[in-house]
Order: sequence, then C-alpha cells, then structure tokens
Amino acid sequence: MSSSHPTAAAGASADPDLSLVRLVQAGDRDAFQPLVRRYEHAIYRMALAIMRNDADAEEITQETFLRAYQHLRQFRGESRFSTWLTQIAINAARMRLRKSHAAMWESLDEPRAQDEGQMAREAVDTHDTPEQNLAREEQRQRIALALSGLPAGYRLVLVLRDLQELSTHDTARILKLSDANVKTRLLRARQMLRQRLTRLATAERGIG
Amino acid sequence: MMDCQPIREYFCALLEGELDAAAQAAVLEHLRLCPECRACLEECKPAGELLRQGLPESMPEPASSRLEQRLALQLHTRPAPAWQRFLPGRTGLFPAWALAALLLLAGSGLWLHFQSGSVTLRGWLVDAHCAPKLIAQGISGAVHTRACALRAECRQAGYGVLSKGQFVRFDAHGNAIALNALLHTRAKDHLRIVVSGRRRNHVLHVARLKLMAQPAEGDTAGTDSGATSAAAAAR
Repeated sequence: MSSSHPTAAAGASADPDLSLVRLVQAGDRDAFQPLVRRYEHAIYRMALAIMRNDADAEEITQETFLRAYQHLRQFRGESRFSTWLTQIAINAARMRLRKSHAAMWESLDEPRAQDEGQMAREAVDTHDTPEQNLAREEQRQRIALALSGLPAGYRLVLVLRDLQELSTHDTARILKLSDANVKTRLLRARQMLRQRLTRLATAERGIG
Repeated sequence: MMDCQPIREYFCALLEGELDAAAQAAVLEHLRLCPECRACLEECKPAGELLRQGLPESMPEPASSRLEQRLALQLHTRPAPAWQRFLPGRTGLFPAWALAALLLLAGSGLWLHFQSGSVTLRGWLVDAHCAPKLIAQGISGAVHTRACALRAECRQAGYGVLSKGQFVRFDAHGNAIALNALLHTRAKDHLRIVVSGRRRNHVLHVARLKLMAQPAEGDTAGTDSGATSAAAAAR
C-alpha cells in the first residue's frame, strides 16, 4: 500500500488522501471512488496474503471499503487514511479467521493443503516467453505455499510490515501487540518464510 | 569472537538502523568472521519484494468490477421517488384500491401529472469513452461490444444511452445498474436498452434499466433509426 506513497512514518499530516477524505465527509460521495481505485489492489493483495484464498480476499476487500465509507465520519486524521483502511481490513480478516476456526496460532508445520497455490493463480505476462512465464508462475506458487505455511500471527506481522510497509508502531497498534513483540515476530516470520522456500526448492530438486 | 546468540539479538536493531556506532561495529566484525550469522542475517532481511512476487499485482478484473458495482449501489442508494414507491412489484403489498385509483387517474389524463419530469429512453448501451467516437464516425451503437464496455477505461468513463446520434449519460446509480447488466448478459454486442429516470443537467438519473434480448436478424426495433425519440422525450 505504501509503495506508491511515503510510508506511514511520514505522519498523518502529509496524508495524500486527506483532501479526498474531507470531501467525502462533507457529503461528496463521488470523491470516495478515487480512494477505492487507489487502494483496492493493495487491500486485496493484503487480504489474499492473510486469508490464502480468492473468495475471502474479495469479500474482505468489499467489506473494508463499505465499512470505511459507512464510518468515514469517525476518521479524525490521526493516522493516515491508508493505515486506517488497513486496520479495517485486518479486523475483517481476523474476524473471518476466527469464524472459519482458523486458529491464529496454528502449528508451524501445518500448511493448509487445500489453499496451496490459490494465491498464485494469475494470468501470466504474455510479453514473456513461455519458459519465463512458467518459471515466474512456479516461483509465485512456491512463495504462496511458503507464506500460507506461516502461523497467522506471524503472517499478519510480516504482511503489515513488509508488504504494507507500515511502521513497527502502527503494526503494533493494529495488532494490539507491543513494539518489541512485533520486531521479534517480524524477524522470525522472515526467517521462516525463507527457510520454507529453501526447503521447497530442495524438495523440488529432489523430485526432479 | 563473541557468541552468535547475543549477536543475533542485535539483528533487528541493525536492520532498523537503531544500533549505536560501537554496537554496530561489534556486530559487523562478528558477521565478517561468522558465515552462519551472515546467512542468518540474510534470512532476516525485509521480505517485501519476495511477498510481492508471490501475489498478483492487482485484484482480478471480475472481482474489481463486483467491488465497484457493490460500492456504487451503496454510495448512491437513495429512496425511490414517491410515485415509484407505489408501483406494483416494489413491495408486493400493492393494494387493489390503489391500482384502481391509478387506472382512473390514467384514464382521466391525470397520470401524466405523476410522471412529469421522468423519461423513458431506448437505444444502445455505450460508455462515455466510446460514445463520442461512434457519434463522430456516424457508427451505430449496435456495434459497440460488451467486451469493450467492460474495459477499465470504458467502465471508468461511465455509461449512457446512445440513440439517433445523441448520447445521454447516466448518474452513478445508473452506471452501477448498467455495469451489473453488462456483467450478467450473454450478448456480445447489440446492447439494446430501455432506461427510465429523470434527466437533469444532461445526466439521466436512472430509476430502471433493462438490457433487452439481442434482436433477431432484420429486426429494426430499437436500432438508432427505430428507436423512440429519446432526445425529444428527454427534453
């Protein structure tokens, strides 16, 4: 989410969305559409990384923007709009994880086999050769599989810090953790992700 | 050389740039001599790029359209006009006496009073991106395809009805209904519609829109030449 904008550390005062948000708050409903277009893909990607399936990711994206619109009057500009939106999406995702009995702290060694590869489904770039497309697709599937194997509590930290590029403090606030806990989990999550990727690559070479 | 474990506890601070000069020098010195810790630090580095490689760059097109449609309906849902709330089929509770009264009113010509300001237009469903080109080249809206209408730039431009070389844009609610109709139709082109609503400032505030079945070959009803005088009715 922050890839196209400065990170949250820049503070809410430099929030590039604030003028549009104020317009919506003043009753200009059409001003909400540009905000949706700006963030729909980032929210969807984040939801997909957390939920590990397309349908849930789409539902969460819809819920996020509907709730954001309904509660926009409550947005005071104390954080960036993008951070506020992320918080809504995370709450929706956590609610859904609880409802689906997906434990937040499931075992490190229990990847959900039925979800494997779902995140990686995407049309390949037709400008590349078939070999390049295949290699990219295989890498996507490996990363998706490795990510889906992380415990949800670690995955959430990893997604907020490294994908959404939120600050440690904002991540801690959204997940109701201490800053130190976020830092510990982040390092562990990165390690687990890379170790899983290495194991997957080794296993593939063994099969090949 | 220091033990590895105490050094690794500084990795987070090192990556965040939070170590003071002395501590940083000690950690870097250890890393220079210890390949295991160098490998461990590599694993701890930010993984944003890696995550992005495992995820689609954007939301798939059908999901994006559904989001837009649901939001448009939410953002622009407004109470129906008073006269419309009493129409049969809206509530399922339309009383017989009211129907009789309406029939009497219609018979006496007073019905027109209730419909004043509302228009019904017939023509082709076209987006605002393509409509000017079709008009400029004198091409019928019948050739405009569903696939084109669902392209991002066409969706973002919004929709309207094209008839007799004249294009009337829809409001956001109408755009949402039109998009919904496009998503659910099997027709590839000949997107003939009947749309009703109120016209204000060159925009049709859509109350109802119906995408008609594709006409049989030779059927001229609903073509530009056969369309009802949409523009005249709108005036």
